[in-house]
Amino acid sequence: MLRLLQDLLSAMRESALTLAPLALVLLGFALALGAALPPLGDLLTGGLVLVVGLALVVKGLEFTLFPLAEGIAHDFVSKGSLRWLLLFALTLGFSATVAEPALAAVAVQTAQAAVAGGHIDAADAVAFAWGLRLATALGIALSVVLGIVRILRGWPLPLLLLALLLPLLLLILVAPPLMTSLAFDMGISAMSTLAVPVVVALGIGLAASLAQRSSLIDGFGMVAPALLLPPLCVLLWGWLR
Amino acid sequence: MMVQAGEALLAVISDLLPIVLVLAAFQGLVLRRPLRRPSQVVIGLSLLIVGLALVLYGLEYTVFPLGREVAGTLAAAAVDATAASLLQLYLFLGALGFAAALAEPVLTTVAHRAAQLSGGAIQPWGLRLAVAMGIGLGACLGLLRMMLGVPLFPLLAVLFVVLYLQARVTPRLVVNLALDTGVVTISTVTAPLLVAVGIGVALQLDGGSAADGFGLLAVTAVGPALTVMGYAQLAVWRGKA
Repeated sequence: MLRLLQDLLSAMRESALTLAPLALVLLGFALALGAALPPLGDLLTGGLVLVVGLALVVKGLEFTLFPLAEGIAHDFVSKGSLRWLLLFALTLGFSATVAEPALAAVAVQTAQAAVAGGHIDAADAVAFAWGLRLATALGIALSVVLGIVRILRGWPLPLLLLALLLPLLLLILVAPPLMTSLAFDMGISAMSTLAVPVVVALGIGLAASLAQRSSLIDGFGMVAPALLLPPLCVLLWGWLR
Repeated sequence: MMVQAGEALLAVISDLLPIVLVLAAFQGLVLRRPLRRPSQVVIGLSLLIVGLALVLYGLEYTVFPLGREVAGTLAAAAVDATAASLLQLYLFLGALGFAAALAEPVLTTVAHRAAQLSGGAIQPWGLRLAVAMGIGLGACLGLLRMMLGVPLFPLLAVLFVVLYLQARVTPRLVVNLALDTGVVTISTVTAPLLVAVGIGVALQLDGGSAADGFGLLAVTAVGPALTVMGYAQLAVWRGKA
């Protein structure tokens, strides 16, 4: 318990240090432009809340979410149930992102912009937003699965990303123009502060449990496919609908 | 104030719940392994929930209003496209991206883990500074694309080809890590701030539909991969010289 408190204190020192540049940039530009600043008391409270909050998040991730996900990857390997591991990856990727508030917000905003731009009817806006969310979550789920398969097979990640450009190019040519601009932001919006650490740790744990893989060299690279596979699913959905 | 804090808490719990449920279901029903150190899990998850709620609250009431105000003022000033106003806008976006990336808790966690796994060969602050520079540069490139009206996919395709070529001459130790950093970093703090600038500028551009604001995150996400690999190459080159 005492160690945890000491840990938390040093984490707060670090989070204050990481937050300082953001405070400098925002306050510096606000002052230079003569923008109205909130009262000093509010700024200090907000800063304190953020320093404590960021420290708790970092410690919570390192203390729990990382070890949990690394441990479960290890258990799948030691049990030898790789089919279950892939099903787990699919379920985790989908459920971690479909309920993500940031993704829901972006999907609703996008649907509104599509209505305003005359691309879809106002009556279809809700269905459109849901379609976007489901297509994106499916894309994330497939990204996690692809990440697992990549580690198992030892495929090189840069080549894999390059190969994904080809189906994307074909879909860009046939999908409606509205989709081609919005599709590429979806995966990034869906990968939150909670989903990313779980997926990253899953890769590290898996690579560490396999004798012929390195947790550093092969274990990372789990979230990079989320740049390209969700757009692929969104474009496919946009083309088919 | 209590109401908003409660809302933040609720949002975090609804975000975390699916992840924890999937982990628990597979751990209990499929793997049938008891939880390792359950008290640690409970403490860690509590830290995480409280911390993330504090972060969301602090961002929503201190950082985002200030960011939106400065972004709106600069975007409105940049509409006459004088050299000085454009320079100010890009300077702000670059500095904002850099500073916001440093404050991201997931980047802090991943930097710690990468340092541990590499036995100290990767330094947390070196990695974070390289990533932060990449976010700043990537955001400026993304804004430039928006303002010049360059189509998104061809630019992304070129960037991924560059990444592939760069990966061939970068130490394997950092390639996958570098490709992950974009998705890892553009999260709770960075994404809303960048989007605020993107939407502010899109509204000022000709034919200003908010749909033009898309694509900024996708281009930004490529930035850190370029700079982290560049940083590693620089380290190798200096080691040889």
